[in-house]
Parts: sequence; C-alpha cells; structure tokens
Amino acid sequence: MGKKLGMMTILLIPICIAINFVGGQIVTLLKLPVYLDVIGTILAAALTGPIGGAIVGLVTNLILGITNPVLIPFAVVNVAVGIVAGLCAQKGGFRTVKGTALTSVAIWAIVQITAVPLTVILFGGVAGGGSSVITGFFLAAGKGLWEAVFSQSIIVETVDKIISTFIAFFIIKRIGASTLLKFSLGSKYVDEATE
Amino acid sequence: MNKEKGIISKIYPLSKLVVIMVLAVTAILWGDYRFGYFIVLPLLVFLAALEGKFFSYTKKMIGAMIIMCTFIFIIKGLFDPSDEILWQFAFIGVKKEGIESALRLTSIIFSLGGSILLFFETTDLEDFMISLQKAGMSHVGSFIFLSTLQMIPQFAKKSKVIMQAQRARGIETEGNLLVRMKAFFPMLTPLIISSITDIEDKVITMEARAFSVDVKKTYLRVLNIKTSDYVIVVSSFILFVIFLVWRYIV
Amino acid sequence: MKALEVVNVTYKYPIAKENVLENISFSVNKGEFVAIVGRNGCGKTTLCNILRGFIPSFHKGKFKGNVLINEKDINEMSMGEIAVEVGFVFQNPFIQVSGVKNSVFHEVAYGLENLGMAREEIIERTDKILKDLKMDDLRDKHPVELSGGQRQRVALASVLVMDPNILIIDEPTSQLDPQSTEKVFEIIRLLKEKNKTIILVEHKIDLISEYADRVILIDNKKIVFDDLAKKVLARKEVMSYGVNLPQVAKAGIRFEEQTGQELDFIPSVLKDAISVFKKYV
Repeated sequence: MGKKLGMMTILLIPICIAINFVGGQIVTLLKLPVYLDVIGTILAAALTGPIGGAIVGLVTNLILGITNPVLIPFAVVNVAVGIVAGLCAQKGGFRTVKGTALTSVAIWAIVQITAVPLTVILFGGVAGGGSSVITGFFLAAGKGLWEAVFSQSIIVETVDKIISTFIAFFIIKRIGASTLLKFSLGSKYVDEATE
Repeated sequence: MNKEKGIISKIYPLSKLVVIMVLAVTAILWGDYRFGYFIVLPLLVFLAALEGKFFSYTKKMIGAMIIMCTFIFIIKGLFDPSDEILWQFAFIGVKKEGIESALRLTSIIFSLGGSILLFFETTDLEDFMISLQKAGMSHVGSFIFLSTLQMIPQFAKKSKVIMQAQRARGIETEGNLLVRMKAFFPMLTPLIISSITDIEDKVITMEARAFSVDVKKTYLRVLNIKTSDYVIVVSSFILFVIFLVWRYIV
Repeated sequence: MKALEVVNVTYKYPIAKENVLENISFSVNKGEFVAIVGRNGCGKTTLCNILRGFIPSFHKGKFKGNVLINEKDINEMSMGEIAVEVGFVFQNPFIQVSGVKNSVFHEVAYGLENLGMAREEIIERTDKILKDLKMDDLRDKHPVELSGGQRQRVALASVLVMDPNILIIDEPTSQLDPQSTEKVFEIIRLLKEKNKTIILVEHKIDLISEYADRVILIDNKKIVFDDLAKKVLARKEVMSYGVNLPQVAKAGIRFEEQTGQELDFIPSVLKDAISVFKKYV
C-alpha cells in the first residue's frame, strides 16, 4: 500500500473493517443464523476496486487475530472475497440487481474455493464452533472429510454471501452522488443524466 | 504514558516477533506434539506469568482455541479413516491415528496461536506500528491499523444507540427470523452512510494535518532498539540453526 | 504584500447544474482579518475550499481562474508547502480528529510528526501551543472523551501548532454553545494579535464587527460588498442578503428612522456607538 491508494480509499478502509466487525456483532445480538461479516470487504471493493477490498479483508482478519489467532489464516478467504468483488465491480457488477446477483455467485464460489481447503488442510476440517457440528453430521453419515466440509460450507455460506452482497448493493444506492464520485469506482453508480 | 512495563513488554516489538516466529516454525517442523504441549505451552504461560498476566492470558488462550481444538479431537478421533481403535465405547470407536494426528495439529495451533496471543498481550500496538514503520512500512499502513482500532468500539457503541432508537420507534428486534432479519438493515445502514459521507471532511482534516506530505515521518513516542534486543534475535537464530542441524542432519 | 489572491474564479460542482461562484476576485493583505458573510448555501464554504486548494483537486468539477498564496500560484505548491502556510479549520468538531491518537497532546503533535519534525521541537511547540491556547488541562485526555467545544479547540491547536501564516476558519462555532464560542473567539483574538492573516466565515455578526478588518458579502454567486468591516456592517441593505447587522448598527438605523435625525455615521461596534450617541443624551 502507499501513495497510490488516495485519501478517500485510505479513510474508507477503517470504516469498512469496522463494518465487518459490527455486522458480525449485530448478527449475534439479533441471533441470526448467518455471519454477515464481510459486508465491509464487499463494500470497499465495490467502491474502490480489488486492492481496497483486499486490504479490508486482510486487516479485518489480522485484527481478529489479535484476540483469536486461529482466524488469521482465514484472511486468505476474506482477501479473496475483496479481490473477486473488486474485479466484478470494475466490470459494473454492482450497478444492477442482476449484476449484483452474478457478483454474489462469484463471491460465493471464491469462498468455497478458498475456505474448504483451508479448513481441511490446516484445521482437519474444523471451522469455528457451531458449523463443525454440521461437518460432524456429514462425517457420521459416512461422507469423506472433503465432502463433509464442502457440504457444511455450502449450507452455512450460500445465503450469507448472497445477503451480504445485496446489502452492499443497497448501501451504495443510498450514498450521495457527490460522495460516490470521489471514490475510484463511484462514477459507475451515479446516473449520467445528472452529470 | 510511561507506566511500568514488564520484562517482555520492554523487548523491541520486531525482536519479539522474530522470537515468536522462530518458536512457531520450530513447533511446526518438529512435528512432535510433546514439544508443543510440554515445552512451548508451559514456556508461554510462564512468560505471561512473568508479566503478571497469568490469568488474563490463560483465559484468552482458552477462549480463543479450546472449542476449535475439542472439535479437532472429536472429528479426527471418531472419523479418521484408519482402523486401529484406541478406545471403544459401545458403538463409538476412537481411532488411535486420529487422536495422534489431533494431538499434533492442536499442539501446533496452541504453540502458534499462543505465541501470537502473548505477543499482542505484551506489545503496545502503537509501538508495534512504529517499529514496522521504522522497518519501512508506509505510514498509511500504520494509520489504517490504528484508526481501525479506534473505529471499531466507536462503531459498536453507535450501533447500540441506533438499535435502542429503532426499538423506540417500534422496529422489532426480537421475534421470528424474518422480523430479526429485517431489523438488521436499519441498524447498520444509517451508521455506514453517515460515516462514508463524513469521509470527505475527514480527507480535508487529514490534509490540514499534513498527512500526505512526502517526508520521512518522525515519532513523538520514543522507541529504541537496545543491545539486548539484538542479542535476543541473534540467539534465537542460533538456537534455530542448532535445531535444524539436530533435526535434519544428525 | 498580498497573502492571498483570488483572480476571476468561477466554479461548478461535478453534478450541479449551475455555478456556485462566478468571477470572484479579491485579495487579502498579510496580517489582514477578513470575514466572509452571506446566507446559507451562498458558497462561503466552497470559497474556503478554493482558497485552500481542495477545489478543484479534491472536489473536482469545473474550475476557472487562479488562486495565489504569497503571490505564488497554488498549483505550483506542494502539499507540504500548503499545509505549512495555510491552516484550515471547519465547522464539524467531531470529524476533525485524526482518530489514531490516544491523548490531546499526541493529537496536537500529529501534524508535526507528519512534517517529519525533530522530536524535541515537536514537544516544545506542542507544549507552547497548549499553553498559549490555555488548554493544558486537556493535555492527557483522550480525544474521544472531549466535548464539541473542546474538540474544536483541539482542532484549532492541531493546525496552529504548525504555525501557518494564513488561517482559513469556516464557521468554527456553528455547532458550539455560547461559552465554547467565546473560547474559540479568544483563540482567534490571539491569532490577530500575532498578526496572522485570517479568513473567517461566521454568522455571529457581533463578533465579526468586533474583530474583522474587512467584510466580504457574497450573494447569488458574486461578491456584493467588499469593504472595511465598519462600512459594510453599517449598511441597511446587508440585511436584505440574509445577513444580520450588529446590534449597535441596528440601533443606529432605527434611531435615524424614528427620529428623522441623521447620525454622524452608523456605528458597528460598541465603542463607536457610545461616541455617536453621546451628543443625543
């Protein structure tokens, strides 16, 4: 990172990391069966591109790691989400509902591709607390470890990533045009008619 | 500002980081769970105790890793594809290889995770950032990290205030799943929108404080490398080399 | 010597349909205290951003004209030069913190760290500015714990510690209570004593009449009045541009209307009012 980021991006990053944290906290408060802890990563990626998204993903997990070091390796997943969301955003992936739906599929896919091998190879198939019960269930049903973790991941991540992507989409719609225009990808979300 | 520091807190952050990395890599390469469980773990707890942080450290350790490690034992022990049974309870068989592999894995998790926890337990984060900046990291990186650390609790506090306000306005935050799902959006979005709108003025604030000025930054905080910091790094490397020779050559 | 000069500036925000300002030209001499007044949304804040160079570099949009600082084009100055020469403080006290420091002392010193100043000098300057602004009591407090008024003074200190010769201060008291407003104005008074060049946007007209040398009134994209504070703030028409007049000026105008007698001049500050009204008592 360095001078090329631009002040808007530099100041957006801490906010987006805080969004990741607080999103996760509100979920616990409301007892929701999802994580919603990458909304900030997706939002940063949508407004500034893959680099901003990747930094938010990385620093989120590094800071989580201060109290829970086990989460540090999962930075890979969060960074990958930022990069994929950012690449989609560059192609206009958050401009329409349809585009957002496609983006959410891409984000979901990259989570599966990165999280499943990490969980199996580094942690013997265990990812956090509750979801490991699901993995155990599939194992007891006679599935192999990879298959069990993959099935678990599909159950836990699918709805979560779709909702997260759409929340980012709706937030962008509510940001004022003059603010949007100051972000590197902001002009994608401002109607040309008002230009 | 200058409260009395413990022995480990006095070590230069990057020297401490090197020692911890060496310890962690050794634990991974050694591969014997006894090294992790009987040498690294007691050593970490001992060092924490030296700092007068025995209780807070062990509590954090347990909070961060115990659930995960328990699940590793369960999943590996019960579902390892090997045949040799260690214990048999009715129809449940605990696999010997599974338990051995769980011991290896958890010993590494405890060594690595425990080292990282100890590092942050005994390191002032602002000092850590300064040491990274002195080692060549951009002040932007340090700004992002420290700014985030202040932002998270403020954000959490504000979202709680908003939650109470939303409740007062009649938005349900309890009830069935759909009701609770619907509550999520109004709790988070006003906060996000206002924070993002504020960025414009914040940019002006930072420029007024010469943030983007392209010079070598200085630090009001004093952070010096002492001879002992070099000694620590060099001696941990020597021990590491001895370990490598013992493990792979002899 | 001219500290600031604006030549024929016209500006339109990126998504706006109309210009905010058109053909604005004026200059400010070294040590002069200029107040900018006008109704809300008339472009005062925009003008401040133009003077500091945030427009057009940050806000983009369509910009024509030139801004000169110390007779040098702002486009030819580096970020560092501008930051050291021109201090900038605006209305919202809650945004004007770095968000990375744990005490007021460190917060105030932050700009100097960013300028790469030696540690000893940072301490010396920060100590001095806190003492000058009578803020020693806040020194070890966490910036987050401060009230709006305290934060605004910290924001001022954080900029003043870099010792800029020119200060642009945009509605520093609009979100503050009367007591904090008085404290902020005490600081501004101090700056005047130090002979700094000051551009102030402010609605509290009695305070302006007391301190400002000159008043510029903006309305409908243009400069309407640009003259000595005494002269501008004694004109009845000023009120038709959504700007209040000082109490004493209003009293003078009323006096003339009601008695039909003509005063020597319409006073704008208390001291003048006393001498003008004396002969009628």
